[in-house]
Amino acid sequence: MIWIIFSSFIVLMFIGVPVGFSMITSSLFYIVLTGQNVFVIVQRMVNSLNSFPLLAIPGFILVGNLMNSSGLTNKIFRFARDLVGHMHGGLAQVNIILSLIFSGTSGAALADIGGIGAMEMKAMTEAGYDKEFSASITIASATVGPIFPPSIPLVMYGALAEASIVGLLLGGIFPAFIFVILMMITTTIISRIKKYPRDSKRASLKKIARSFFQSLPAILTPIVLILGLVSGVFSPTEAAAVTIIYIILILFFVYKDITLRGFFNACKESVSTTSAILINVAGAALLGYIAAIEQLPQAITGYLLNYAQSPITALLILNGILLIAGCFLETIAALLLFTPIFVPVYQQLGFDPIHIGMVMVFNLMIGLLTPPMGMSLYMVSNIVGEKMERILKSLLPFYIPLFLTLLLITFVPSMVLFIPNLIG
Amino acid sequence: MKYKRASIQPIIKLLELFSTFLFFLMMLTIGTEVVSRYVFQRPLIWTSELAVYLNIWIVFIGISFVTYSEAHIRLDFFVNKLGIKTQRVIEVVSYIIIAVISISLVFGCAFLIKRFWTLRSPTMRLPTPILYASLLIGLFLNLIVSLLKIIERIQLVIRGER
Repeated sequence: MIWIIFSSFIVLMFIGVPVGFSMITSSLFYIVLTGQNVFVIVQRMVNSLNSFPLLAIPGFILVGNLMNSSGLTNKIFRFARDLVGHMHGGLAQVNIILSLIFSGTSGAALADIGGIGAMEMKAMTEAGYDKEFSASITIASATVGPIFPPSIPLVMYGALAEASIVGLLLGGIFPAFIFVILMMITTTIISRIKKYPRDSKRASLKKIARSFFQSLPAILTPIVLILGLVSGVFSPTEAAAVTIIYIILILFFVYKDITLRGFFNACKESVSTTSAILINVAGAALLGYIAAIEQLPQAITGYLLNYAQSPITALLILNGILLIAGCFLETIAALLLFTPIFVPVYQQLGFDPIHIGMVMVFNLMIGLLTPPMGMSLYMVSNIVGEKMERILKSLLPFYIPLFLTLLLITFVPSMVLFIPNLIG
Repeated sequence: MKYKRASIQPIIKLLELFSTFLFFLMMLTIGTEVVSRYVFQRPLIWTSELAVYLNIWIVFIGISFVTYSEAHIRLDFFVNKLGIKTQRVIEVVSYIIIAVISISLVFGCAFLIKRFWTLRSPTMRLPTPILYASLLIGLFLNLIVSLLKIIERIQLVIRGER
Protein backbone atom coordinates (compact mmCIF):
# COMPACT_ATOMS: atom_id res chain seq x y z
CA MET A 1 0.00 0.00 0.00
CA ILE A 2 2.56 2.52 1.15
CA TRP A 3 4.69 1.73 -1.90
CA ILE A 4 1.79 2.43 -4.23
CA ILE A 5 1.35 5.81 -2.60
CA PHE A 6 5.01 6.72 -2.85
CA SER A 7 5.42 5.45 -6.38
CA SER A 8 2.34 7.37 -7.48
CA PHE A 9 4.00 10.46 -6.04
CA ILE A 10 7.19 9.81 -7.99
CA VAL A 11 5.28 9.16 -11.24
CA LEU A 12 3.19 12.31 -10.85
CA MET A 13 6.27 14.36 -10.16
CA PHE A 14 8.09 12.95 -13.17
CA ILE A 15 5.27 13.83 -15.55
CA GLY A 16 5.60 17.40 -14.40
CA VAL A 17 2.75 17.81 -11.93
CA PRO A 18 3.95 20.47 -9.43
CA VAL A 19 5.73 18.78 -6.52
CA GLY A 20 3.30 20.04 -3.89
CA PHE A 21 0.30 18.83 -5.85
CA SER A 22 1.94 15.46 -6.49
CA MET A 23 2.28 15.02 -2.76
CA ILE A 24 -1.29 16.08 -2.08
CA THR A 25 -2.62 13.86 -4.88
CA SER A 26 -0.94 10.67 -3.68
CA SER A 27 -2.01 11.46 -0.11
CA LEU A 28 -5.55 11.88 -1.35
CA PHE A 29 -5.33 8.41 -2.96
CA TYR A 30 -4.34 7.01 0.40
CA ILE A 31 -7.06 8.80 2.32
CA VAL A 32 -9.71 7.66 -0.14
CA LEU A 33 -8.40 4.07 -0.31
CA THR A 34 -8.36 3.74 3.47
CA GLY A 35 -11.84 5.19 3.70
CA GLN A 36 -10.97 8.33 5.63
CA ASN A 37 -12.56 11.71 5.12
CA VAL A 38 -10.93 14.27 2.82
CA PHE A 39 -10.95 16.87 5.57
CA VAL A 40 -8.06 15.03 7.24
CA ILE A 41 -5.87 16.35 4.42
CA VAL A 42 -7.05 19.91 4.85
CA GLN A 43 -6.53 19.72 8.58
CA ARG A 44 -3.01 18.30 8.23
CA MET A 45 -2.02 20.86 5.61
CA VAL A 46 -3.16 23.78 7.70
CA ASN A 47 -1.60 22.37 10.88
CA SER A 48 1.74 21.78 9.20
CA LEU A 49 2.04 25.50 8.52
CA ASN A 50 0.81 26.47 11.97
CA SER A 51 4.34 27.02 13.21
CA PHE A 52 6.27 30.13 14.18
CA PRO A 53 9.76 28.77 13.29
CA LEU A 54 8.61 28.25 9.68
CA LEU A 55 8.21 32.01 9.41
CA ALA A 56 11.99 32.18 9.13
CA ILE A 57 11.44 31.08 5.52
CA PRO A 58 9.53 34.16 4.33
CA GLY A 59 11.95 36.16 6.49
CA PHE A 60 15.05 34.80 4.75
CA ILE A 61 13.40 35.19 1.36
CA LEU A 62 12.73 38.85 2.04
CA VAL A 63 16.29 39.35 3.31
CA GLY A 64 17.61 37.94 0.03
CA ASN A 65 15.27 39.97 -2.14
CA LEU A 66 15.93 43.19 -0.25
CA MET A 67 19.69 42.76 -0.44
CA ASN A 68 19.66 42.04 -4.14
CA SER A 69 17.12 44.64 -5.20
CA SER A 70 18.64 47.43 -3.14
CA GLY A 71 22.11 46.80 -4.52
CA LEU A 72 23.64 45.86 -1.17
CA THR A 73 25.11 42.70 -2.69
CA ASN A 74 26.69 44.75 -5.48
CA LYS A 75 28.33 47.02 -2.93
CA ILE A 76 29.87 44.06 -1.16
CA PHE A 77 30.99 42.64 -4.48
CA ARG A 78 32.67 45.88 -5.50
CA PHE A 79 34.59 46.11 -2.25
CA ALA A 80 35.73 42.51 -2.46
CA ARG A 81 36.87 43.08 -5.99
CA ASP A 82 38.94 46.12 -5.04
CA LEU A 83 40.51 44.08 -2.30
CA VAL A 84 41.56 40.94 -4.15
CA GLY A 85 40.93 41.65 -7.84
CA HIS A 86 44.65 42.01 -8.59
CA MET A 87 45.47 38.49 -7.41
CA HIS A 88 45.46 35.47 -9.72
CA GLY A 89 41.94 34.13 -9.55
CA GLY A 90 41.00 36.90 -7.14
CA LEU A 91 37.59 37.43 -8.59
CA ALA A 92 36.97 33.71 -8.41
CA GLN A 93 37.74 33.76 -4.70
CA VAL A 94 35.30 36.63 -4.21
CA ASN A 95 32.69 34.61 -6.04
CA ILE A 96 33.15 31.69 -3.63
CA ILE A 97 32.56 33.74 -0.50
CA LEU A 98 29.64 35.73 -1.88
CA SER A 99 27.88 32.65 -3.19
CA LEU A 100 28.30 30.94 0.14
CA ILE A 101 26.64 33.75 2.02
CA PHE A 102 23.94 34.75 -0.38
CA SER A 103 22.74 31.53 -1.86
CA GLY A 104 20.19 29.74 0.21
CA THR A 105 17.92 32.72 0.67
CA SER A 106 15.49 31.64 -1.98
CA GLY A 107 15.16 28.02 -0.99
CA ALA A 108 16.52 26.82 -4.24
CA ALA A 109 20.19 27.17 -5.06
CA LEU A 110 18.90 27.59 -8.60
CA ALA A 111 17.18 30.88 -8.08
CA ASP A 112 20.30 32.27 -6.45
CA ILE A 113 22.39 31.25 -9.40
CA GLY A 114 20.02 33.27 -11.56
CA GLY A 115 20.32 36.28 -9.23
CA ILE A 116 23.67 36.98 -7.64
CA GLY A 117 25.33 34.16 -9.57
CA ALA A 118 24.53 35.81 -12.89
CA MET A 119 26.12 39.04 -11.71
CA GLU A 120 29.27 37.25 -10.55
CA MET A 121 29.61 35.30 -13.76
CA LYS A 122 29.19 38.47 -15.81
CA ALA A 123 31.91 40.22 -13.85
CA MET A 124 34.22 37.22 -14.20
CA THR A 125 33.77 36.79 -17.93
CA GLU A 126 34.24 40.54 -18.41
CA ALA A 127 37.50 40.28 -16.50
CA GLY A 128 38.65 37.62 -18.94
CA TYR A 129 37.88 34.32 -17.24
CA ASP A 130 36.51 31.67 -19.52
CA LYS A 131 32.79 31.09 -19.30
CA GLU A 132 32.90 27.50 -18.16
CA PHE A 133 35.22 28.26 -15.27
CA SER A 134 33.07 31.18 -14.06
CA ALA A 135 30.00 29.00 -14.35
CA SER A 136 31.44 25.99 -12.58
CA ILE A 137 32.86 27.97 -9.67
CA THR A 138 29.54 29.75 -9.22
CA ILE A 139 27.46 26.61 -9.06
CA ALA A 140 29.97 24.72 -6.95
CA SER A 141 30.01 27.42 -4.30
CA ALA A 142 26.31 28.27 -4.54
CA THR A 143 25.24 24.73 -3.79
CA VAL A 144 26.95 24.95 -0.44
CA GLY A 145 25.16 28.14 0.51
CA PRO A 146 22.20 26.14 1.80
CA ILE A 147 24.20 24.75 4.71
CA PHE A 148 25.24 28.25 5.75
CA PRO A 149 22.81 30.72 7.34
CA PRO A 150 20.51 32.08 6.04
CA SER A 151 19.28 28.80 4.65
CA ILE A 152 15.76 27.81 3.74
CA PRO A 153 16.37 24.07 3.24
CA LEU A 154 17.70 23.81 6.79
CA VAL A 155 14.66 25.60 8.20
CA MET A 156 12.37 23.25 6.28
CA TYR A 157 14.29 20.23 7.45
CA GLY A 158 14.21 21.45 11.05
CA ALA A 159 10.48 22.04 10.93
CA LEU A 160 9.75 18.58 9.50
CA ALA A 161 12.27 16.68 11.62
CA GLU A 162 11.36 18.63 14.74
CA ALA A 163 15.04 19.37 15.20
CA SER A 164 16.47 22.62 16.53
CA ILE A 165 16.53 25.06 13.62
CA VAL A 166 19.02 27.33 15.38
CA GLY A 167 21.22 24.29 15.96
CA LEU A 168 21.04 23.40 12.29
CA LEU A 169 21.85 26.90 11.09
CA LEU A 170 24.78 27.14 13.50
CA GLY A 171 25.93 23.61 12.73
CA GLY A 172 26.48 24.49 9.09
CA ILE A 173 28.86 27.36 9.77
CA PHE A 174 32.01 25.38 10.48
CA PRO A 175 31.69 22.81 7.66
CA ALA A 176 30.91 25.69 5.30
CA PHE A 177 34.15 27.41 6.30
CA ILE A 178 36.10 24.21 5.77
CA PHE A 179 34.53 23.94 2.34
CA VAL A 180 35.38 27.53 1.48
CA ILE A 181 39.01 26.99 2.43
CA LEU A 182 39.22 23.81 0.34
CA MET A 183 37.50 25.58 -2.54
CA MET A 184 39.88 28.52 -2.37
CA ILE A 185 42.90 26.24 -2.40
CA THR A 186 41.55 24.41 -5.45
CA THR A 187 40.80 27.70 -7.17
CA THR A 188 44.26 29.08 -6.46
CA ILE A 189 45.86 25.99 -7.95
CA ILE A 190 43.68 26.09 -11.05
CA SER A 191 44.18 29.82 -11.52
CA ARG A 192 47.95 29.46 -11.25
CA ILE A 193 48.02 26.64 -13.77
CA LYS A 194 45.67 28.33 -16.21
CA LYS A 195 47.11 31.81 -15.58
CA TYR A 196 43.72 33.37 -15.01
CA PRO A 197 43.57 37.11 -15.44
CA ARG A 198 43.69 39.64 -12.72
CA ASP A 199 42.80 43.32 -12.60
CA SER A 200 45.73 45.09 -14.19
CA LYS A 201 46.26 47.56 -11.41
CA ARG A 202 46.08 46.98 -7.71
CA ALA A 203 43.45 49.29 -6.27
CA SER A 204 45.03 52.06 -4.24
CA LEU A 205 44.77 51.86 -0.47
CA LYS A 206 42.62 54.95 -0.54
CA LYS A 207 40.23 53.38 -2.98
CA ILE A 208 40.04 50.21 -0.94
CA ALA A 209 39.39 52.20 2.22
CA ARG A 210 36.66 54.19 0.52
CA SER A 211 34.89 51.15 -0.86
CA PHE A 212 35.28 49.43 2.50
CA PHE A 213 33.51 52.19 4.37
CA GLN A 214 30.89 52.43 1.67
CA SER A 215 30.15 48.76 1.86
CA LEU A 216 30.66 48.20 5.58
CA PRO A 217 26.98 48.50 6.56
CA ALA A 218 26.11 46.07 3.78
CA ILE A 219 28.85 43.64 4.79
CA LEU A 220 27.50 43.68 8.33
CA THR A 221 24.10 42.39 7.18
CA PRO A 222 24.88 38.67 7.13
CA ILE A 223 26.97 39.18 10.26
CA VAL A 224 23.96 40.68 12.06
CA LEU A 225 21.98 37.60 11.14
CA ILE A 226 24.62 35.13 12.23
CA LEU A 227 25.39 36.97 15.47
CA GLY A 228 21.68 37.07 16.22
CA LEU A 229 21.60 33.30 15.95
CA VAL A 230 24.89 32.64 17.74
CA SER A 231 23.92 34.84 20.67
CA GLY A 232 21.25 32.25 21.42
CA VAL A 233 18.85 35.08 22.17
CA PHE A 234 16.91 35.13 18.92
CA SER A 235 14.96 32.39 17.26
CA PRO A 236 15.65 32.08 13.50
CA THR A 237 12.43 33.94 12.70
CA GLU A 238 13.36 36.76 15.02
CA ALA A 239 16.92 36.85 13.68
CA ALA A 240 15.48 37.21 10.18
CA ALA A 241 13.24 40.03 11.40
CA VAL A 242 16.16 41.80 13.07
CA THR A 243 18.13 41.52 9.84
CA ILE A 244 15.24 42.99 7.85
CA ILE A 245 14.94 45.87 10.30
CA TYR A 246 18.70 46.39 10.02
CA ILE A 247 18.55 46.43 6.22
CA ILE A 248 15.72 48.95 6.22
CA LEU A 249 17.60 51.15 8.69
CA ILE A 250 20.83 51.21 6.70
CA LEU A 251 18.97 51.79 3.45
CA PHE A 252 17.12 54.66 5.05
CA PHE A 253 19.88 56.32 7.06
CA VAL A 254 23.14 55.30 5.40
CA TYR A 255 22.52 54.71 1.72
CA LYS A 256 19.36 56.82 1.58
CA ASP A 257 18.12 54.95 -1.44
CA ILE A 258 15.13 53.07 -0.14
CA THR A 259 11.89 53.66 -1.94
CA LEU A 260 8.50 52.48 -0.86
CA ARG A 261 8.08 51.02 -4.31
CA GLY A 262 11.30 49.05 -4.01
CA PHE A 263 10.27 47.67 -0.65
CA PHE A 264 6.84 46.82 -1.99
CA ASN A 265 8.35 45.00 -4.96
CA ALA A 266 10.67 43.01 -2.73
CA CYS A 267 7.65 41.97 -0.63
CA LYS A 268 5.66 41.11 -3.75
CA GLU A 269 8.41 38.90 -5.09
CA SER A 270 8.76 37.22 -1.72
CA VAL A 271 5.05 36.40 -1.62
CA SER A 272 5.03 34.03 -4.57
CA THR A 273 8.32 32.41 -3.56
CA THR A 274 6.97 31.85 -0.05
CA SER A 275 3.79 30.31 -1.36
CA ALA A 276 5.56 28.15 -3.93
CA ILE A 277 7.91 26.76 -1.27
CA LEU A 278 5.60 26.33 1.68
CA ILE A 279 2.88 24.56 -0.28
CA ASN A 280 5.45 21.78 -0.61
CA VAL A 281 5.99 21.73 3.13
CA ALA A 282 2.25 21.21 3.58
CA GLY A 283 2.32 18.39 1.02
CA ALA A 284 5.34 16.77 2.65
CA ALA A 285 3.62 16.85 6.02
CA LEU A 286 0.85 14.73 4.45
CA LEU A 287 3.30 12.14 3.15
CA GLY A 288 5.07 12.15 6.51
CA TYR A 289 1.76 11.52 8.24
CA ILE A 290 1.04 8.58 5.97
CA ALA A 291 4.55 7.18 6.43
CA ALA A 292 4.03 7.37 10.17
CA ILE A 293 0.65 5.58 10.14
CA GLU A 294 2.04 2.88 7.89
CA GLN A 295 5.08 2.57 10.17
CA LEU A 296 7.43 3.01 7.26
CA PRO A 297 10.33 4.30 9.41
CA GLN A 298 10.07 1.23 11.65
CA ALA A 299 10.20 -1.05 8.62
CA ILE A 300 13.25 0.73 7.26
CA THR A 301 14.95 0.66 10.66
CA GLY A 302 14.49 -3.08 10.87
CA TYR A 303 15.87 -3.50 7.41
CA LEU A 304 18.83 -1.26 8.07
CA LEU A 305 19.65 -3.00 11.34
CA ASN A 306 19.88 -6.26 9.43
CA TYR A 307 22.18 -4.82 6.82
CA ALA A 308 24.14 -2.12 8.51
CA GLN A 309 25.92 -3.46 11.53
CA SER A 310 28.07 -0.38 12.04
CA PRO A 311 27.20 3.30 12.04
CA ILE A 312 29.62 3.79 9.15
CA THR A 313 27.63 1.46 6.90
CA ALA A 314 24.40 3.14 7.95
CA LEU A 315 25.82 6.55 7.02
CA LEU A 316 27.18 5.23 3.74
CA ILE A 317 23.74 3.90 2.87
CA LEU A 318 22.20 7.29 3.65
CA ASN A 319 24.79 9.06 1.51
CA GLY A 320 24.28 6.64 -1.34
CA ILE A 321 20.51 6.97 -1.38
CA LEU A 322 20.59 10.75 -1.16
CA LEU A 323 23.31 11.23 -3.75
CA ILE A 324 21.35 9.15 -6.21
CA ALA A 325 18.08 10.82 -5.29
CA GLY A 326 19.74 14.23 -5.59
CA CYS A 327 20.71 13.46 -9.16
CA PHE A 328 17.13 12.74 -10.15
CA LEU A 329 14.80 14.67 -7.86
CA GLU A 330 14.23 18.33 -7.26
CA THR A 331 16.16 19.26 -4.08
CA ILE A 332 13.29 20.57 -2.02
CA ALA A 333 11.07 17.70 -3.07
CA ALA A 334 13.71 15.14 -2.13
CA LEU A 335 14.40 16.82 1.19
CA LEU A 336 10.73 16.95 2.06
CA LEU A 337 10.16 13.38 0.93
CA PHE A 338 13.05 11.80 2.82
CA THR A 339 13.07 13.81 6.03
CA PRO A 340 9.99 12.28 7.64
CA ILE A 341 11.13 8.80 6.62
CA PHE A 342 14.84 8.87 7.44
CA VAL A 343 15.03 11.07 10.50
CA PRO A 344 13.11 8.72 12.83
CA VAL A 345 15.18 5.83 11.46
CA TYR A 346 18.54 7.42 12.07
CA GLN A 347 17.49 8.89 15.36
CA GLN A 348 16.65 5.41 16.51
CA LEU A 349 20.06 4.25 15.32
CA GLY A 350 21.55 6.86 17.63
CA PHE A 351 22.40 9.75 15.29
CA ASP A 352 21.83 13.41 16.06
CA PRO A 353 19.07 14.89 13.86
CA ILE A 354 21.20 18.01 13.30
CA HIS A 355 24.00 15.86 11.93
CA ILE A 356 21.64 13.88 9.71
CA GLY A 357 20.07 17.11 8.43
CA MET A 358 23.42 18.46 7.38
CA VAL A 359 24.31 15.20 5.64
CA MET A 360 20.98 15.18 3.81
CA VAL A 361 21.02 18.79 2.65
CA PHE A 362 24.65 18.64 1.53
CA ASN A 363 24.15 15.42 -0.41
CA LEU A 364 21.12 16.79 -2.22
CA MET A 365 22.98 19.98 -3.06
CA ILE A 366 25.79 17.97 -4.66
CA GLY A 367 23.08 16.21 -6.65
CA LEU A 368 22.30 19.57 -8.26
CA LEU A 369 25.71 19.46 -9.89
CA THR A 370 25.56 15.92 -11.18
CA PRO A 371 24.06 14.72 -14.43
CA PRO A 372 21.56 13.59 -15.60
CA MET A 373 19.32 15.95 -13.64
CA GLY A 374 21.94 18.42 -12.37
CA MET A 375 19.56 21.37 -12.41
CA SER A 376 22.33 23.85 -11.57
CA LEU A 377 24.29 22.67 -14.57
CA TYR A 378 21.39 23.20 -16.93
CA MET A 379 20.52 26.56 -15.54
CA VAL A 380 24.03 27.89 -15.58
CA SER A 381 24.69 26.64 -19.08
CA ASN A 382 21.62 28.59 -20.17
CA ILE A 383 22.78 31.75 -18.44
CA VAL A 384 26.32 31.85 -19.76
CA GLY A 385 25.46 30.22 -23.08
CA GLU A 386 28.05 27.48 -22.90
CA LYS A 387 27.67 23.74 -23.53
CA MET A 388 26.93 21.73 -20.43
CA GLU A 389 29.65 19.20 -21.16
CA ARG A 390 32.30 21.90 -21.12
CA ILE A 391 31.06 23.31 -17.84
CA LEU A 392 31.01 19.83 -16.39
CA LYS A 393 34.60 19.30 -17.44
CA SER A 394 35.76 22.46 -15.74
CA LEU A 395 33.62 21.55 -12.71
CA LEU A 396 35.47 18.27 -12.17
CA PRO A 397 38.26 19.60 -9.91
CA PHE A 398 35.65 21.14 -7.63
CA TYR A 399 34.24 17.73 -6.83
CA ILE A 400 37.33 17.24 -4.66
CA PRO A 401 36.43 19.94 -2.10
CA LEU A 402 32.77 18.99 -2.38
CA PHE A 403 33.29 15.32 -1.57
CA LEU A 404 35.98 15.97 1.01
CA THR A 405 33.56 18.23 2.85
CA LEU A 406 30.81 15.66 2.46
CA LEU A 407 33.03 12.96 3.98
CA LEU A 408 33.96 15.23 6.87
CA ILE A 409 30.35 16.18 7.55
CA THR A 410 29.28 12.56 7.39
CA PHE A 411 31.96 10.89 9.45
CA VAL A 412 33.06 13.65 11.82
CA PRO A 413 29.75 14.65 13.37
CA SER A 414 31.51 16.76 15.99
CA MET A 415 32.46 19.14 13.19
CA VAL A 416 28.79 19.90 12.72
CA LEU A 417 27.73 19.64 16.32
CA PHE A 418 30.36 21.53 18.25
CA ILE A 419 29.06 25.06 17.62
CA PRO A 420 25.43 24.15 18.45
CA ASN A 421 26.70 22.34 21.55
CA LEU A 422 28.70 25.38 22.64
CA ILE A 423 25.61 27.54 22.45
CA GLY A 424 23.63 24.86 24.18
CA MET B 1 -7.52 33.14 -25.80
CA LYS B 2 -6.15 36.57 -24.96
CA TYR B 3 -9.66 37.47 -23.92
CA LYS B 4 -9.92 34.59 -21.44
CA ARG B 5 -6.60 35.51 -19.88
CA ALA B 6 -7.64 39.08 -19.50
CA SER B 7 -10.87 38.07 -17.81
CA ILE B 8 -9.17 36.61 -14.74
CA GLN B 9 -6.09 38.80 -14.66
CA PRO B 10 -7.59 41.64 -12.59
CA ILE B 11 -8.63 39.19 -9.89
CA ILE B 12 -5.18 37.66 -9.80
CA LYS B 13 -3.55 41.09 -9.67
CA LEU B 14 -5.85 42.16 -6.87
CA LEU B 15 -5.11 38.99 -4.97
CA GLU B 16 -1.41 39.48 -5.40
CA LEU B 17 -1.73 42.99 -4.02
CA PHE B 18 -3.75 41.70 -1.09
CA SER B 19 -1.17 38.98 -0.36
CA THR B 20 1.64 41.49 -0.54
CA PHE B 21 -0.21 43.60 1.97
CA LEU B 22 -0.61 40.55 4.23
CA PHE B 23 3.10 39.80 3.82
CA PHE B 24 3.97 43.34 4.83
CA LEU B 25 1.65 43.01 7.82
CA MET B 26 3.27 39.71 8.78
CA MET B 27 6.76 41.21 8.72
CA LEU B 28 5.48 44.16 10.74
CA THR B 29 3.99 41.76 13.28
CA ILE B 30 7.21 39.79 13.66
CA GLY B 31 9.09 43.09 13.94
CA THR B 32 6.67 44.21 16.67
CA GLU B 33 7.26 40.94 18.47
CA VAL B 34 11.02 41.43 18.44
CA VAL B 35 10.83 45.05 19.54
CA SER B 36 8.32 44.37 22.31
CA ARG B 37 10.29 41.42 23.61
CA TYR B 38 13.86 42.67 23.41
CA VAL B 39 13.54 46.44 23.51
CA PHE B 40 10.63 46.94 25.87
CA GLN B 41 11.06 43.59 27.66
CA ARG B 42 7.33 43.16 27.42
CA PRO B 43 6.48 40.41 24.97
CA LEU B 44 3.06 40.71 23.43
CA ILE B 45 1.12 37.49 23.47
CA TRP B 46 -0.77 37.82 20.22
CA THR B 47 2.04 38.57 17.79
CA SER B 48 3.30 35.07 16.99
CA GLU B 49 -0.19 33.71 16.47
CA LEU B 50 -1.14 36.59 14.19
CA ALA B 51 2.06 36.20 12.16
CA VAL B 52 1.50 32.47 11.73
CA TYR B 53 -2.11 33.01 10.64
CA LEU B 54 -1.06 35.65 8.15
CA ASN B 55 1.57 33.29 6.75
CA ILE B 56 -1.02 30.54 6.28
CA TRP B 57 -3.20 32.99 4.38
CA ILE B 58 -0.32 34.11 2.19
CA VAL B 59 0.68 30.55 1.32
CA PHE B 60 -2.78 29.21 0.53
CA ILE B 61 -4.11 32.27 -1.27
CA GLY B 62 -0.82 32.26 -3.16
CA ILE B 63 -1.47 28.81 -4.63
CA SER B 64 -3.76 30.36 -7.22
CA PHE B 65 -1.44 33.01 -8.54
CA VAL B 66 1.54 30.70 -8.40
CA THR B 67 -0.44 28.35 -10.65
CA TYR B 68 -1.40 31.34 -12.79
CA SER B 69 2.19 32.43 -13.32
CA GLU B 70 3.26 28.76 -13.61
CA ALA B 71 5.84 29.25 -10.88
CA HIS B 72 5.20 26.05 -8.93
CA ILE B 73 8.23 23.96 -8.13
CA ARG B 74 8.07 21.15 -10.63
CA LEU B 75 10.22 18.73 -12.51
CA ASP B 76 10.11 19.60 -16.19
CA PHE B 77 13.32 17.83 -17.13
CA PHE B 78 11.74 14.65 -18.46
CA VAL B 79 8.67 16.27 -19.93
CA ASN B 80 10.82 18.73 -21.86
CA LYS B 81 12.47 15.82 -23.67
CA LEU B 82 9.16 14.86 -25.27
CA GLY B 83 7.59 16.22 -28.43
CA ILE B 84 5.71 19.48 -28.14
CA LYS B 85 2.31 17.88 -28.70
CA THR B 86 2.90 15.18 -26.08
CA GLN B 87 4.07 17.88 -23.71
CA ARG B 88 0.82 19.79 -24.14
CA VAL B 89 -1.23 16.65 -23.55
CA ILE B 90 0.71 15.88 -20.39
CA GLU B 91 0.24 19.45 -19.24
CA VAL B 92 -3.48 19.13 -19.73
CA VAL B 93 -3.45 15.95 -17.63
CA SER B 94 -1.42 17.74 -14.99
CA TYR B 95 -3.87 20.65 -14.81
CA ILE B 96 -6.80 18.23 -14.65
CA ILE B 97 -5.15 16.62 -11.63
CA ILE B 98 -4.67 20.04 -10.04
CA ALA B 99 -8.30 20.92 -10.72
CA VAL B 100 -9.58 17.66 -9.25
CA ILE B 101 -7.43 18.08 -6.13
CA SER B 102 -8.59 21.65 -5.76
CA ILE B 103 -12.25 20.80 -5.94
CA SER B 104 -11.96 17.84 -3.54
CA LEU B 105 -10.14 19.92 -0.98
CA VAL B 106 -12.58 22.80 -1.35
CA PHE B 107 -15.23 20.39 -0.07
CA GLY B 108 -12.90 19.31 2.73
CA CYS B 109 -12.43 22.94 3.73
CA ALA B 110 -16.14 23.67 3.65
CA PHE B 111 -16.74 20.66 5.87
CA LEU B 112 -14.16 21.77 8.42
CA ILE B 113 -15.40 25.34 8.44
CA LYS B 114 -18.89 24.11 9.22
CA ARG B 115 -17.64 21.67 11.83
CA PHE B 116 -15.38 24.06 13.71
CA TRP B 117 -17.62 27.07 13.29
CA THR B 118 -17.55 27.93 16.99
CA LEU B 119 -13.90 27.12 17.73
CA ARG B 120 -11.65 30.00 18.73
CA SER B 121 -7.86 30.38 18.49
CA PRO B 122 -5.86 30.14 21.75
CA THR B 123 -4.60 33.70 22.19
CA MET B 124 -6.43 36.07 19.86
CA ARG B 125 -9.78 34.27 20.15
CA LEU B 126 -10.17 34.42 16.39
CA PRO B 127 -12.51 31.87 14.85
CA THR B 128 -10.44 28.85 13.72
CA PRO B 129 -12.38 28.50 10.43
CA ILE B 130 -10.47 31.59 9.28
CA LEU B 131 -7.53 29.29 8.64
CA TYR B 132 -9.52 26.85 6.54
CA ALA B 133 -11.14 29.73 4.68
CA SER B 134 -7.73 30.73 3.26
CA LEU B 135 -7.32 27.30 1.71
CA LEU B 136 -10.91 27.34 0.49
CA ILE B 137 -10.51 30.66 -1.31
CA GLY B 138 -7.05 29.80 -2.62
CA LEU B 139 -8.11 26.43 -3.98
CA PHE B 140 -11.34 27.72 -5.47
CA LEU B 141 -9.44 30.31 -7.47
CA ASN B 142 -6.85 27.69 -8.26
CA LEU B 143 -9.61 25.54 -9.73
CA ILE B 144 -10.67 28.36 -12.03
CA VAL B 145 -7.10 29.13 -13.03
CA SER B 146 -6.34 25.49 -13.82
CA LEU B 147 -9.52 25.15 -15.88
CA LEU B 148 -8.47 28.20 -17.89
CA LYS B 149 -5.03 26.67 -18.36
CA ILE B 150 -6.63 23.47 -19.64
CA ILE B 151 -8.66 25.39 -22.22
CA GLU B 152 -5.60 27.37 -23.21
CA ARG B 153 -3.49 24.23 -23.71
CA ILE B 154 -6.19 22.44 -25.69
CA GLN B 155 -6.54 25.44 -27.98
CA LEU B 156 -2.79 25.46 -28.47
CA VAL B 157 -2.83 21.79 -29.45
CA ILE B 158 -5.70 22.29 -31.87
CA ARG B 159 -4.07 25.30 -33.49
CA GLY B 160 -0.78 23.45 -33.50
CA GLU B 161 1.06 26.39 -31.97
CA ARG B 162 4.19 26.06 -29.92
